[in-house]
Amino acid sequence: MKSIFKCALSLAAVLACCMTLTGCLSHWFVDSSSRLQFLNSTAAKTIVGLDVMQQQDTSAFRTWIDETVLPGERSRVHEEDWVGNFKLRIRYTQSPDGSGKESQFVFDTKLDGGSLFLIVQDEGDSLSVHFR
Amino acid sequence: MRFISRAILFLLAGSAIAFADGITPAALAKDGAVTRDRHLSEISDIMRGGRGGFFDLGFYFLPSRAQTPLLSEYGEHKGFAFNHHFAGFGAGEVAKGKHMGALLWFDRSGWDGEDFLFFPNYGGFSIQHSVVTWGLTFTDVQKDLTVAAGMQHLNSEHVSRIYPHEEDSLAYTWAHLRWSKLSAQANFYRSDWRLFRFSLDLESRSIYGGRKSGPLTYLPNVSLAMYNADSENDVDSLRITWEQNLYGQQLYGEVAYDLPDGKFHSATLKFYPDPSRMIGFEATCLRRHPHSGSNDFLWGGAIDLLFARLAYNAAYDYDNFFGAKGTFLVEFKFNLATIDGMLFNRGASRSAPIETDVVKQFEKGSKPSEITPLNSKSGAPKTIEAKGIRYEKVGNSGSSEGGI
Repeated sequence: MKSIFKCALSLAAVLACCMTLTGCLSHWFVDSSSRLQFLNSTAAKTIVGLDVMQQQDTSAFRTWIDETVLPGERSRVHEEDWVGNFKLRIRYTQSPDGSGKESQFVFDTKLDGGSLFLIVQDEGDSLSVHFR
Repeated sequence: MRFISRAILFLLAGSAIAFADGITPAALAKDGAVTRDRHLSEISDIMRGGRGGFFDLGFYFLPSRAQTPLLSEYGEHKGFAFNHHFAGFGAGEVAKGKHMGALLWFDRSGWDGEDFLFFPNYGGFSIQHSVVTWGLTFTDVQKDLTVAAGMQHLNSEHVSRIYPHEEDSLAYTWAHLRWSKLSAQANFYRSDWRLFRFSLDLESRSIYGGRKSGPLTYLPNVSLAMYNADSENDVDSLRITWEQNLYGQQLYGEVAYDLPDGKFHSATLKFYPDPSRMIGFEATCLRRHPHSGSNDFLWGGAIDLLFARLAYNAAYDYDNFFGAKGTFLVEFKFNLATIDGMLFNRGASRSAPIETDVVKQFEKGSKPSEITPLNSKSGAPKTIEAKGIRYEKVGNSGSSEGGI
């Protein structure tokens, strides 16, 4: 009788561990959304938006940050459910005041969730990006 | 030795993540139809006897969110595919040889950015839906006849924008008719049919009053399922499944063919150390459908240990867990069926050995000249211990007379 009780208790303990792991414990160290903010660190380019592109069709997209950010400024923090591997697009103009023709810079990125700070810099006429 | 075991563990963990293929929104969206079909197929197995009881409870356990990523049009989203299931059936004797019962099958499945047991995150790319199948059953033991009928409800709890439309409905009905070894099943959505399944379970099974061994146990179990996905009354797909006892109701082969193109769907070699199917090992080969983007063969296997099922690329998981591929899955579960006091697992042919002994004891107990009940006051044997020895000898030798 005692051994049955012991067996049931250890089984319950194993099940409880698994349930907590599947249930909620992983939320303590895993983020299911990304909070993105970017810094326009270019000398004279204005960023007018940031989108997530469709992989198959680069003309289709979903806007993540819809803000005009002047050189030297930061965007606000925008939280979305993008966690995984995606193609991002930065829309920008070659002028410091947001006027002129819109260009775009597309790059692949891996988002693991949590707070992300993206620094956008000049690279000739185009841009370069890195997360900090 | 320690290094080897660690290396194997590391490789297993690596295989759970590194080679995991994404799950498509289309596979998640059609899971309602897949689950409804699986419910009816499981009910068909339980209705072979049509009486007794059945209990099932389980859920998939995925420690890493890289194991079942969602492959949307935007990219690969990290998250958890989930399936929680419960099933119950119980029947009681209402008149001599006539059993009435009720059954309930429940599945909640989908994909979410977070793992959970009861309360999902309902994120921007998640889908949660549940399927309930319920019904009432009637079995006439003398006529060897079972009739069951009920309804199925598909409840779309949360569906985000990236998923194709799926019918959320209370209006599915089903019926099951079994006469001896022949059974037929039908499933309707309003007035349109969705499924017809005809099964011929020729294999002789001792739990249903058949043979324990001999040529009759080597007869096949054949099932033909016809599916109709839309409101038109034509057959959209057809599947024939052939299950064959290969050795002593312990080794089985199962092959499924898709018609009308006559293409091979899957083959499974199943080994049960005990015919009660409490523990099982299986090796599977599945031809992936061109719809999945590839037309290759998927080789895999699973180990079923009564409380847990470990699987890698198993055909069952590909079919029933959103086409999960390239990841190591653990399903914590428990299921048990009972009929006339015998215990076994769904689809088994014989009862668990421990229960067979109990039945033997009951049989012996009905002969008062040989065995006296423990609590009897008069005519009891001088030593109670002697009865234990007597039982054991009866169980081992199979003879009716055990000596002290």
